[in-house]
Amino acid sequence: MKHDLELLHDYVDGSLSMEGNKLAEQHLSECSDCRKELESIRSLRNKAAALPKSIQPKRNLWNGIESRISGNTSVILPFQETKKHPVNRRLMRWMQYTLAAAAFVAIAIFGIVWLRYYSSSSWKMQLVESGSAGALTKQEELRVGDVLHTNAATRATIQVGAIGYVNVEPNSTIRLLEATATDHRLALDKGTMHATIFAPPRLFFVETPSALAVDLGCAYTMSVDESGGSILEVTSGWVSLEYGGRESIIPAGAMCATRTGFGPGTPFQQDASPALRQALGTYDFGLADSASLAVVLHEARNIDSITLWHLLFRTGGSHRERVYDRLAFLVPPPEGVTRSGMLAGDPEMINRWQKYLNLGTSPWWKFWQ
Amino acid sequence: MGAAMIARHLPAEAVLERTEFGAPHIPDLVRRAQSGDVQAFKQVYREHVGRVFAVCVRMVGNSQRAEELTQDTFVRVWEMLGSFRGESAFSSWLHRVTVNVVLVDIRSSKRYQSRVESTDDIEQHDQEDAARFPGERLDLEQAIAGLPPQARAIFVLHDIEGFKHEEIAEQMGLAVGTTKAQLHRARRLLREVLER
Repeated sequence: MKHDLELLHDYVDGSLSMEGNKLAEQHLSECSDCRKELESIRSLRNKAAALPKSIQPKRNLWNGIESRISGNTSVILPFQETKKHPVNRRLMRWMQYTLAAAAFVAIAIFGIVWLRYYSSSSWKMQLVESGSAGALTKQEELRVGDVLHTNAATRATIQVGAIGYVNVEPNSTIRLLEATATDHRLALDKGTMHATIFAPPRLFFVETPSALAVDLGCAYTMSVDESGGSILEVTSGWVSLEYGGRESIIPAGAMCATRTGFGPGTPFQQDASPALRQALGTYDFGLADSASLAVVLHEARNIDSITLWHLLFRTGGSHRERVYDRLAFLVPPPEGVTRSGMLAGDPEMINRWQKYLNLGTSPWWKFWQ
Repeated sequence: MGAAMIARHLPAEAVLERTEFGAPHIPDLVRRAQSGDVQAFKQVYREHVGRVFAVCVRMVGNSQRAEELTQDTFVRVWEMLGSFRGESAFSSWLHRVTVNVVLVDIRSSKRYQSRVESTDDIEQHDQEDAARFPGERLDLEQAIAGLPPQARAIFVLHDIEGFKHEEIAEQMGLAVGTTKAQLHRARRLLREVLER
């Protein structure tokens, strides 16, 4: 490598390949000019990263905003109430009563349907076999204790009681473990399934060899490989993966891998960089090394806070400090949350930042180690 | 049907372990603002105006314009509040709206249009840019404000806000090579004036 300032920037930003990094480091060890240049770029980056994330404007901007939004009739807001028009308030109240009545009727219907399935110990299932003569469909019943094996030409759609459905891909094995109103439980031994559930959280469970997936009101895809490891991709709502006291909470748009004996890894956004995903896998299921963590932290964007938040609870010592610093840089904590408090596992601060990050209402502090 | 095999009545093993987790969450203030509560929205403004203004003023390098863009951002947020479903942190959602408002403004700016240059033009412009800085030592904020518009926006998004080149390129409608070149250029200009 010769003097190449562009590559030096890429080296500082961590965007070089491993081979590129080696070449850069080799050249840096021999070239004092480039080392000086490197330190200068790093120094600037550090100063930029340390700039305050909040600057108060010198004048009050609210009045201008209020005058624009108060006269804004094109605003489309759900259930917006206009203070200047009492008639709208009455209309709103009527709508609220109507909605409440409709909700009551819906709940009643749901309850009746629910009770109907309460005593059932089987779910309806449609099997579709693709062949040269076209698709052949057959209605079946999946009972508690049954094991369903689909081959390369077969798919199945299973009605999950009255709360949703599961599509089973070819070459999959699935078992029905429980089919009660409060416990809808499958085991996915291998293959792929897509679940769509319209129900309150904690009614639908999928057991895999490496973790238990708990539905929190969502849609997701889960695949289990021959080793028992799995990959979960959430498309709506939230899913919890649990194994041996280790838990990961995965929101829509995120994914999470599991490994036999380890349980769930750290969730990551579906569009997270390949480097982040690879380093996360190494960190979660093997080395827990500083180098992998460095890649994860460097690659993380502000929308990767779900990854850093989980790592905050799974790391310790200097690793935890580095995770905190990166998370605080990308998503500054709200007022009242301090570095020392968070690193000491202060439950109130954890709850406050968790709420600020919109990470649900789970008491995360209990995972502090 | 022979294609799928159903084995009946095999032993089922179930281990139920329940914990408490929440669904997507919308902060109370935001929820009230979504229902048209202007006072709640004022509180949202108070909590976040510093963060929004910081992004605006650094990206445009002008306090007066940044104030206007901060107001534009909150008006835009008010208009879009109904679309916030709580699937990401409100602060992250607000940050994305802010960056979009500023980038739309930058793209529509004639000054910006005249400064969208290829990397081949950089050296020529840099001589002009360097001349704009006074002789005395500048602090980093002042130096950032003095950068050319495109380089400044990219530097702020990458080095301060933590965006990746691919995201910046997509949002600004540029090639990744261009955002990299502009970032390197911004860093070089900044180091020159800071190390004087």
